[in-house]
Amino acid sequence: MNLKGQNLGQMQLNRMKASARCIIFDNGNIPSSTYSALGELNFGLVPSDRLDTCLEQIDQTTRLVVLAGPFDAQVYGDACRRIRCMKFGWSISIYLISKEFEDRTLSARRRTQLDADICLPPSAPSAVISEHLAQSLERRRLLSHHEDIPTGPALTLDRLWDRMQRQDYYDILECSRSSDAAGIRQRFQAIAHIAHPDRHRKWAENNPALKRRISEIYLRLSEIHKVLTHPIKRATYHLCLKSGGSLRYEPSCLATHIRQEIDECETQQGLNAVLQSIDARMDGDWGRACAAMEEALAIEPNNGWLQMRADAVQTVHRLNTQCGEWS
Amino acid sequence: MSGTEPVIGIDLGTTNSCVTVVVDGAVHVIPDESGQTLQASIVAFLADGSVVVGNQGRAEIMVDPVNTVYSTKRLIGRAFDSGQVQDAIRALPYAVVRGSEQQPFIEIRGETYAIPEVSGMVLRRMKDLAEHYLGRSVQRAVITVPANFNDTQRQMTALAGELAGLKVLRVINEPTAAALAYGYGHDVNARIAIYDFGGGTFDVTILDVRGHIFEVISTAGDSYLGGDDIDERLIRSMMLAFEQQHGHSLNNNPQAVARLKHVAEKTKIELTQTDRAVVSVQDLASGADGTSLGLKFQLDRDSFGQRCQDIVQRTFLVCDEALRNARLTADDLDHVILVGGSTRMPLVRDMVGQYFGSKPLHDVNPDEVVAVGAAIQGAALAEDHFVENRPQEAALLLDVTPQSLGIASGGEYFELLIEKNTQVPCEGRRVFTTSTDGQTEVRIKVYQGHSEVIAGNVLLGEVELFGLRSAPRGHVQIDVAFEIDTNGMMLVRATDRETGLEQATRILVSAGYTREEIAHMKARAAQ
Repeated sequence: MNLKGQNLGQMQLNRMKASARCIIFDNGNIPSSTYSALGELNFGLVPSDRLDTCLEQIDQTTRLVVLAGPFDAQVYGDACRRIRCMKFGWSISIYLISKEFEDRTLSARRRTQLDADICLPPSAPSAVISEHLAQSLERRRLLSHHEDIPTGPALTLDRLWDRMQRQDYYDILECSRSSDAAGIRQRFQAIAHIAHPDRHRKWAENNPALKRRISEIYLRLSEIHKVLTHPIKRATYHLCLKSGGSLRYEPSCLATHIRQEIDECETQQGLNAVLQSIDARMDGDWGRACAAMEEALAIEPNNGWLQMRADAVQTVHRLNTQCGEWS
Repeated sequence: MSGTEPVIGIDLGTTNSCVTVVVDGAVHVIPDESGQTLQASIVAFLADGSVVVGNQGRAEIMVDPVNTVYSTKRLIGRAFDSGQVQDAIRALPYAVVRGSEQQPFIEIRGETYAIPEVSGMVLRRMKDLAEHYLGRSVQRAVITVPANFNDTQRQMTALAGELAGLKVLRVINEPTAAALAYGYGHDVNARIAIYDFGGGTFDVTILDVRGHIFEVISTAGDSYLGGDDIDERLIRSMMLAFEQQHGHSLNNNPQAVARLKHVAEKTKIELTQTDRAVVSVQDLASGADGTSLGLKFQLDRDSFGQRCQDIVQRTFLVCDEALRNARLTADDLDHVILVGGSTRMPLVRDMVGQYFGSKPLHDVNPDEVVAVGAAIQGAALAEDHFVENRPQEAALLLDVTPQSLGIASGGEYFELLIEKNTQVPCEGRRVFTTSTDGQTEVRIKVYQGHSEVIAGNVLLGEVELFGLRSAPRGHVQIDVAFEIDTNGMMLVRATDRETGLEQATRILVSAGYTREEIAHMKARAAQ
């Protein structure tokens, strides 16, 4: 079966557009197994061979967007972000096809990074595709409920969820990086007021998928609150942001040597100072890094590991200053 | 009366229960036929097979103690072998037996009843009172539980509500409900402590109240400390006095003890108003020669206070913990609010005032305040805030989980997933993997409590991941999310990391009842 755009008569295409629920970017890479899985869903398919045209076709009836490679992560990332930024963006399932997804860990990572729903290689059998499609469509089923819910809360949550995908914690809360715990609490409470599951109980009552999404949003919000009001977690989060791996608090994505250094600390104050030092090192401010390590050592004078790290930082700082003098 | 179906608020207490409802923005505390707003949490099973619930059951305690059930809140959701249940069994005149697993049952006239069934009977009585008062059927309720209740205790309380024919919209914590009743609609901006000393439990909760947002900072409790302990102390004193007067012990006379319990409660209440109480009980027991023996006993407020001082002092250990967890001192608090019948005692009020360094507030009725808060929460949940388009006006509770949730690790250590005093809803995640080739099941034991070793915590149950993909060991990685919802109850979701598909789970509750037992309870409740 081949449903490429150029092979369809214009009339046929228009008719399909009227019930467009699935938009496919197909440059000849989509295997027939995908089409047979999609065929089972009885969607109106709108194939297109240009990425821009494809994204322009998305409207509020769209439930699924299929993008087939070969793209790099950048192109995929831009496309996903564009979709998620649309008014009903978070109710659309995104299905990415690329050879690189044969590596399953990479596929899982891309899925969370890009907020895509399915990342599968072209070689995936159609049964697997069908199952993934069914699950992801169920998860994103919210769209069909936009008609019978008041648009206010849906849109509020819509925007919040979207921002959670592409902004850091401070931007999501709309507060500055220097806000103190009280300021963060205040912003959290203001958002909790509209995003708390209790606020949406009535219209989400009989819709488990919607309930799940609302609770997902709130869980994220409360994670943000927890991380930013806890000094150590907050400092660690700054490191996560700086190392560029994630917009979320995920200490596991920090480099191994940083995690080791964090684990070596024996006291909370010592840890705090070490976190400040790592932060300074990432900024290339070795003087500040040195001072912070000394502070940590003053708190934990008997920590041998810490002593070694402090010496190393000291050495770099010295060399760094020398290099500065020579140039 | 407004068109929306009302949501009632029920305070299901150890000793007394209370039901309220919000009608057109005003809170009504619902009285019974004789005008009483408090109902005794007593279920009396009469010889003719009928069941009497509430205040009318009170008299039965003395007539037929073995067939009159009270204080079920002390047993609900607990394992039969736990120290608390064993202690309770020694103190209670009716028979508590063990089910097939760890679930306790009450045996009355050869018939066994699960604990939620009996609690359900009390709830049904409250529901009937509300229906009679409102003149319409009531289906939905908010029920309160002590803040320190764990997952199983909450689940069982919700089950009791279901057996009473109620849809339980929310299980909320008693101190939080009290804060709501105290602060809602009064535009309070303060940091307050709720000192909730009830019949069988003690809880203290520290909250920040900012307009309509009630944010709990920390909570701590002792679910085995209450007014009952004070009664117990008084009963012991009276039994000792009896032994001294007649040289005859009452230890093996449950009927006499039950009567003394009633007398002790009365004496305690009398001593809140007067400085001296004189107790005189006739025909308490019969002597060796068949003569009837009575008890004469005198007590003044000061010596009564001295006898119970240590019990009240124990509550401050719990307060210390709550303050420490909140990283606050007593000086940081703006008000202390007293909740629960036991706080009527002048001794408690004085000692609380000393501890917190400010005069505690008791302008709200300590017996009704919890139920009032439940009804306010019920009204807030029933409303559709966005249709009305004024979400800012409704009360919002941000509560915390009272106990840490975790799993067994390295045999006896408790691996923390969710720390206590984390705001709910919240979740903790962990990845589990298979340890043998082709393994299709993984079982995870989940514990809740305050200790660092599992032996010090309560086993909630086992989460079973079943129907796993067949693969070499270590290849199946399941990401399990343990969530605590706004009811303080646990939910489990699992996903296969590799395929991203949802993984089936089952929870086997340790002190819970089997599906057949629950079906049986429902069938019996429907009769």
